[in-house]
Amino acid sequence: MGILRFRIAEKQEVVFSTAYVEFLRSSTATKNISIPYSNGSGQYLISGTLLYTYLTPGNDGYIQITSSSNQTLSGSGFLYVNMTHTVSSTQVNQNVNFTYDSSPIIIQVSYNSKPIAEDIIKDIDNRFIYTFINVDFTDAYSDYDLDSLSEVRVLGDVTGYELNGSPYISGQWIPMTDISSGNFMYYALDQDMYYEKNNTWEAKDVNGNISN
Amino acid sequence: MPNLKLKVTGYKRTSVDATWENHELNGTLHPTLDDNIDGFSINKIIVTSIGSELFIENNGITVNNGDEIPMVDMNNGDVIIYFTHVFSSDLFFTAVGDAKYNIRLTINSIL
Repeated sequence: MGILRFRIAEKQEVVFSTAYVEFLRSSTATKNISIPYSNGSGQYLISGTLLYTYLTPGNDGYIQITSSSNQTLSGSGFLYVNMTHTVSSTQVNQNVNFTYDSSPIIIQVSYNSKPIAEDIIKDIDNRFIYTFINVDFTDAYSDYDLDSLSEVRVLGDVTGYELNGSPYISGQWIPMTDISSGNFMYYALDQDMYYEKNNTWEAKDVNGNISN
Repeated sequence: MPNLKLKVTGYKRTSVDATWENHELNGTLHPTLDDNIDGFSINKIIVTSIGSELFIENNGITVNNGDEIPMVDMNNGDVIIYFTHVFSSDLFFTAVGDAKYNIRLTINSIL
């Protein structure tokens, strides 16, 4: 009698490498993440497939990870996912661990905060050219992650302000190196009467995050 | 979004003609100052520079650079400026209130 033998091949498990993403604290955002993989053997995901969820929408710490497209995992490549995350103001870095097709996936999540800028009020003399210095801005700046102040900008009617010898353009970003070099000035009006020059301003930290 | 506010100090020049007494180059002056400048209420002055020929007292107490004088003292006649051997001398002070004004008070002696 002949032998009927089935040889069951060992399951090829896809292998995922660690992926990395950064989120802003005190915000909810969705980011697209590319997770490297190897040993794909044709696993198929439909766009929107839920891969991981934690807590419920609107709550600090909420995470939802879904497949961002219809995709087949073959050989080596990237698993494309969307990660929606609600972050508290004090969230610390963490690893998000889950599995797909019994294979572990790790996403290392780091966090940063927007810097905080506060009011700046200065007394200057009329008919006087005021040259801004670093502390004019750094004294009104703080950052949860201690990121340093990289750039500032002034908005509104900026008549009288000059940057590098030319009229300043509202909203133009000014590197702190220009402030340090004395390149940002205000020309007080040639008049006797007291007046106030009112504008708003924003700060940008070294990570590119912009203040309130 | 936070504010960036520049408060630009106003500037006023005022001159006072003082009469010499007894044809001597000295005398006294009781300065007064309007407590409203350009619509801004002023409540005190801060003396910033006193001409060398001038000497100031407020209620009998010597006033030096950096001292404050309430407007009520100015306008009660409590402030006396003594001047000696002067044809013209300057007193600089800052008037402070709802706005800030740098003021130059020039004393010109006349016969």
